[in-house]
Amino acid sequence: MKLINKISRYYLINSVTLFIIAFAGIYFTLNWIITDDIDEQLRIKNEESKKRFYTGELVDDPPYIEIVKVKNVLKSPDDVTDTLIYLSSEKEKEPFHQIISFVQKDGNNYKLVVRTSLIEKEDLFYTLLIIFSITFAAFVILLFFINRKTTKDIFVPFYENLNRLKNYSVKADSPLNLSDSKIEEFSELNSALYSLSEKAVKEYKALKEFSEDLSHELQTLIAVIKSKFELLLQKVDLDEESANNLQSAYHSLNKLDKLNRSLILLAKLESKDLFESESIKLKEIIDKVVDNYRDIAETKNLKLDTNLNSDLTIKCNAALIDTVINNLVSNSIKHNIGNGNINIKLSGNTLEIRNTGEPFTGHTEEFFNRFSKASKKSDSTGLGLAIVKKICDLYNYKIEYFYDHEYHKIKIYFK
Amino acid sequence: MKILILEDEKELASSIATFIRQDGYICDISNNFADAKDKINLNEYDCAIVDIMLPDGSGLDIIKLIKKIQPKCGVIVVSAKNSLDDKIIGLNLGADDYITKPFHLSELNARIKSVIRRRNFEGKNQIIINELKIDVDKREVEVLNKKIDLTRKEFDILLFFISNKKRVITKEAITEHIWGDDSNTFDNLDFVYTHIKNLRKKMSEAGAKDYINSVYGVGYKFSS
Repeated sequence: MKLINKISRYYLINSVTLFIIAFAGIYFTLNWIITDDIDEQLRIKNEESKKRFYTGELVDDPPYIEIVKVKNVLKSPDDVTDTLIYLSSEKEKEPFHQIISFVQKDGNNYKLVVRTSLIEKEDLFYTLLIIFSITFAAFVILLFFINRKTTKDIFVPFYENLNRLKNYSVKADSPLNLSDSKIEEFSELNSALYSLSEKAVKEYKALKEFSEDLSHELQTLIAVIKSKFELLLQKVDLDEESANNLQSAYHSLNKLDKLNRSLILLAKLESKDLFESESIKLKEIIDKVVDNYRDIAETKNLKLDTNLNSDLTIKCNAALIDTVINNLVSNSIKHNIGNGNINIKLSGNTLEIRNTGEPFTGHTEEFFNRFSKASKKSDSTGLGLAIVKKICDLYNYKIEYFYDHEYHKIKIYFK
Repeated sequence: MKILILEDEKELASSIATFIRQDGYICDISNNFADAKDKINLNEYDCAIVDIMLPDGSGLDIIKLIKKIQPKCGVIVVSAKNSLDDKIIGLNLGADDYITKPFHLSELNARIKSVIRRRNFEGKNQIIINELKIDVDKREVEVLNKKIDLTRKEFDILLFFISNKKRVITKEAITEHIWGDDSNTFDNLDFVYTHIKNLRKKMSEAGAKDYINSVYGVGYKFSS
């Protein structure tokens, strides 16, 4: 829910409650005052009626004045009581206040009833209700316009800044740029964001430098260890067990080497400027890579078909595009099943590599993530596809992955 | 043959030296720029292995110096940076080859051999081992003076073996040498075995001795 709507909702709920309370308060107060007044007048009217009765001026005027001859005099309360009387004009029973008194004239007993209609009270209720409703409607309409104005004046710059923040990356060369706000909260938020982004950029750079330095240090150490292993392997008197141990340690070392190289490459892939571009015929690169791996696919009993009927020429770094094709083709061999298939198709500006394989267990969106491996048993570094994705991102090539009918499918749309 | 190893990481330099001395090469090790300059001025080398990043200077300047006073000496650039710039600059300065750290000693050794061969056997780049005759430039192999047909990969494997005679070469090193840097991530390197099996078969059918032996699960050795 948007902030402005949330605020409006609070306003509405609270003002509805306030309106109801105000309405009830005003209604009951006015009602009490009016009823009191009516009763006072009724008492005066009663006294006057009695006088006029004695003088004989009083005439029966039901339901407002009734004079009834009665045998017995009941104890007269002489005070105001409620009653309902049917009014033919209104066609329903209406509330009245009345005073009943007993009077004597010429030796006869009379019951004298004086009444006043309370219809005015009902009118009061409806009048008040209408006034309140109109006021409330006006309030809601006003609130709506205030919201629109606030959204425009306050929240439009806010949303603009939000959008810039969403598109902001610590990796970008350009610093964060927000539009200024005269509103204290927003300008405080801006300065907080500025200092946050500065800190983030600083830490990102430090971390990047650290990992680059680390990788280079590691590279030298790996080089030393690797060379020592090779020397150890030259020993003629190596027994089989030692050879096996050496072999598996050497194998892990090679994996470490590969991992480290991949990390160095990933770190370098932040900027296109580090790589020189040239015009490259994609078909030639694919042919070369496929040719190189064909025998490996055959050893694994995989059927590798290519269908390259596009003369697409792209402008990018030769080593990088080579890495992309290499990683994709070697992946399609690595993550395949016995007697599986690999189809490589280049048509128009789209390259599609599809291969049989066990389904990818993670989310499709995570497919290109670092260390998101298709299968645990695999020996791969888990960085191959992350590198592919990053190279594609670098050149703005769209890359997609699907799993469809037992086939992994990767599509790259070259520009 | 005299080789200069210019590498500031002493342990790596000594490994390289141990590995290539096996072929009877004489190795000088330099751990810094100044010492390398002295050695180049004093001795004559057939090949120099030059690390670009040195504590007291750039290996690129050493390449310039070698090319100036010892134009016959081959140069192999070693870089830890895997940067294309170093490669291009190094090769433009006249370096013969380029290798990225970390490398397999067998790979470096093969490259040294290749550089020396190219520089010393002008026009006739041949290797003769007993009944084998390998023409490196024509990429032809003769057994008992009879040509045998090898695939491109079989030929490259054989040449790699011959460059690393009497040494155990790991399957990983062979894979990287033949299929490229990106290829050794396969779980199982059986495809190497397929090629070596075919190579051995073709050679023995032509009457050659079986030179290639498997060494446990580790790799192979070419013993003449």
